[in-house]
Order: sequence, then C-alpha cells, then structure tokens
Amino acid sequence: MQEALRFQPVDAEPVDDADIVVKPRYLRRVTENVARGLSLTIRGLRKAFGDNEVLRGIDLHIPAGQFVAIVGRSGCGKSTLLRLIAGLDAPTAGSIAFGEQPRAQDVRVMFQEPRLLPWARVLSNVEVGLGRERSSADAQARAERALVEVGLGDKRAQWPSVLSGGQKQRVALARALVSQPRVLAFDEPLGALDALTRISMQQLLERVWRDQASPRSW
Amino acid sequence: MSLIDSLPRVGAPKLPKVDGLIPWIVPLAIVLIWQLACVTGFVPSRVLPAPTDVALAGWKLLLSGELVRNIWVSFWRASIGFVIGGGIGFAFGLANGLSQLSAKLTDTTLQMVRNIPHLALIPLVILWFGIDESAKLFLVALGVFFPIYLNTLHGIRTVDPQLIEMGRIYGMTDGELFRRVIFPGALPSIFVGLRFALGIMWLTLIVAETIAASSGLGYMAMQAREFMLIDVVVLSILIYALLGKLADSASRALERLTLSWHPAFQKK
Repeated sequence: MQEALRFQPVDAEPVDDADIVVKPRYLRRVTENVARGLSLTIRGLRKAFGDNEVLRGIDLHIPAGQFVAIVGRSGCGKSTLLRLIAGLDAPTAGSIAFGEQPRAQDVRVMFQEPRLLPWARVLSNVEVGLGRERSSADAQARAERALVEVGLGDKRAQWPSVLSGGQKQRVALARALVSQPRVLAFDEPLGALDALTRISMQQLLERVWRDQASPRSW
Repeated sequence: MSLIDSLPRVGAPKLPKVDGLIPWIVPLAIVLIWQLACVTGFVPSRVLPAPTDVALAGWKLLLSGELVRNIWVSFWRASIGFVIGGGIGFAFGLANGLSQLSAKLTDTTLQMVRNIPHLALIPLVILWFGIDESAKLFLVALGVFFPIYLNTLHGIRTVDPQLIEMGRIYGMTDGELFRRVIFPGALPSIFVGLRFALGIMWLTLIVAETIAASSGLGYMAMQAREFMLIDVVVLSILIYALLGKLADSASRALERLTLSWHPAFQKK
C-alpha cells in the first residue's frame, strides 16, 4: 500500500521487489489491431488520497493494439490506475492521453463484479454498452451479435439474476465489446470466478480479442 | 426459486384453484365461529350482532344508496389526499435523494415535522378548515407524505453506487442514469413506502371522518352509534378491513408488474 507503483522496463526481467511488472504480451498477434486501437500515453501520473500517495510519478506508454497486464499485490494501486485511465477519478498530477486526443470517449471498463442492471433483460444490458449509439437502428442487432460472441445468444430474454457468476461476467464482456471500444480496461474481471470458469473465460477473452483484432464489421 | 420449491412435492397434489383460496380460510372460519356464537346466544346481539344481521344491514344500506355514496365519498377523499401527499413526498424524496443541497436545506425540517403525530393536528385543522373537505384531504396528505418521502429517499440513497459508476462510464446522461439506473433501483423501496402510506391513508381518513365530517364511512359509523345501530357500526368496520385489503392487493399487483426482474417476484 505504502509502496508506490513502479514499472520495469519492458524487456527487463521482473525483479523481486518490484510490485508491478508490465508485460508486453502477444505482440506479434496484435499487429493488425493497431489500426483500430488507441495508444495510451501516461506522463508523470500521481494520485494521492489525502496524505496517502498511491501512485507516484508513473510514466507509461502502451502502443495501440497492445495487450498489457498490470500485476501487483492487492492494494498497490492497480485499480486506482485503471480508474484514472477510465476517467472515473481525476489525477492529482500528470496527464493521460489516448492517441492524439486528450480524452477518449471510447474507453470501456470491465470490473471485478459484472455490474449488470438487475432490472434489465440480458439483451438490454448489452445494449447499455453502446453508449451514445444506443438509439441507432441496428443497436439491437449489434447487441445480439455481441451476446452470440460470448456464447449467450440463447439467454437474451433472461433476467441477470438467473445467470451464474461466469455467465454474468460474460454478459458484462459482451457489454464491454459491443461498441468495439478502442481501449479496453479490465479490473480483475475474472477475480471473483472459480478456477475452472476462470480458465474458460480467459480463453474466451483471448479469442474475442483476437477476432476483434482483424477488421470485422459487426 | 429456492431449492425447496424446485423439489417435487410429495403427497401434495397441485390444485392451483385451491391455492388462491387458502388466505381466505382464516377470515371465513372467524365469520363462521362468530355466527355460531351469536346464534347460540353465547354473545348477546347488543354486544355483537351476528354476521347475517350485519349483512342484512349492509343490504338495506345498499338499497337506499347510502352505503355506496359513503364509500364513494371516502374513497374519493382517500385517493385525492393520497395523490397530493404522495406526490409531494415523492418529489421531496427525489430532490433530497439526488441533491445534497436540497437534502441539507429541507431534511432537518421534514424530520422535525415527521415526529409530530399528524392526528394531533386535528383540533388545529378543524379550526383552520372547519369540517370541510379540505380538512380531511390535508390530514390524509400529511399522513401519506412521510412514508413515501422517507422510502423514496432511502431507495435513491441505497442504489448500488457501482451501477451508477457503470452507467457513467458507459456514457449515460443524467436523465438516462435516472431512468435506467436510479429510479428502477429505488423502486422496491418506494413500494414499501407506498404500502405503508396506504395503511396510514385509511387510518387518517377514518379518524378524521369520525371526528369531523358530514359524510363518508367514518361519519356513517358515528351516526349509527348515535342511534345504537350496532350492526351498521360493525359493517363499517368490516368495510374498512376490505378496503384496506383492496388497497394492499392493488399495490402488490403493481409491484409484481414493475418488479418482475426481482428474484422475490419470479415464479417458476
């Protein structure tokens, strides 16, 4: 908690006392995705809650289309960093830039909890993910395709309360993906699931992400 | 929904028609015992008239049109008072739930007023409004205001902040956030307030009509007392029970309609 977040150079081996390591993964696979993704540049980012400085001078550049995992002990500031990237909190100092724009509208976040609206059917929960485009004519069709993508096409008319934990998280994934966001932020989305469900969800995430990498029209 | 419901029922053949009648077994049994006690002379008829006598009195009043007129007057007062008081309570609940400033400005005052029993205001209300319609409407509105206000406020305050955050990230405007997240989230609590309010609505109205009125069910009961018509008094009391049950059923039906997403309202 007291130890501020630190980053290792991309190629360096993780050192023992490092809380957080940024791993560039799947670099080769993402090359086609570069066109659609946004690069993320963080400079001198600081976040303090009162006297407690959680993030201390973070510089990070993530090229467009890259899949980066941020690893660290619980309470070391992973979620804080993600909340800053998602624009949920304002940084104490420093800047976050997406591509050329100072602030991106199309960051989508998936949380540890599914955060589905219990009073909306599965399909309308996915439609929430379309943001401003919700009222467009093909909104429902897009939401349906996203649901099929995560393998829940047959659950579209169900209430979220009848789904299992893993299914709920898959609906949340469909909601995050439906608008084809250019930056996707995951805050331990699989943390609350059991080991087996987690493995299959990881595979699903990888598959969906790989599929999205090639230009597709949803 | 629970595990027990999903198990096959052993030795309990499913008779859906009987299922709906179960709640009425107890009231029916009470009426039967009551009738029996009266017929055998166990209870003298000047203490408690037999159900048949009460029914007869009801029939007579029905024929004369007096019963329908009085029920209608009471029903009208209850509804108007409820709409006024409930509407204002709902508006304050929304305002104070959504705006810190509004809550700071009015909540303390409302909490102070809330702790005055509203029926204690009857003498003052009679001085202000006489025994006019407005006196009854005022009291009902005041009584209904607080349960609706408190529960609307509570409902809005307890909406899952994580869902609100989610809505923000997904680009909902304030209006959409209210319509899609805050209001549906507060609805179960609002319904609790609604049901409390319906109970208070009848209570207030009947007391007000008993003390100061020239029409309505409470007035009918008081008039009957003057003339020692105990069957009419008992009839009025039974009608209160029925009207109360009716109001409760109506709110339950509304609940089932709007809260079908809630696990508590999902049937297999």
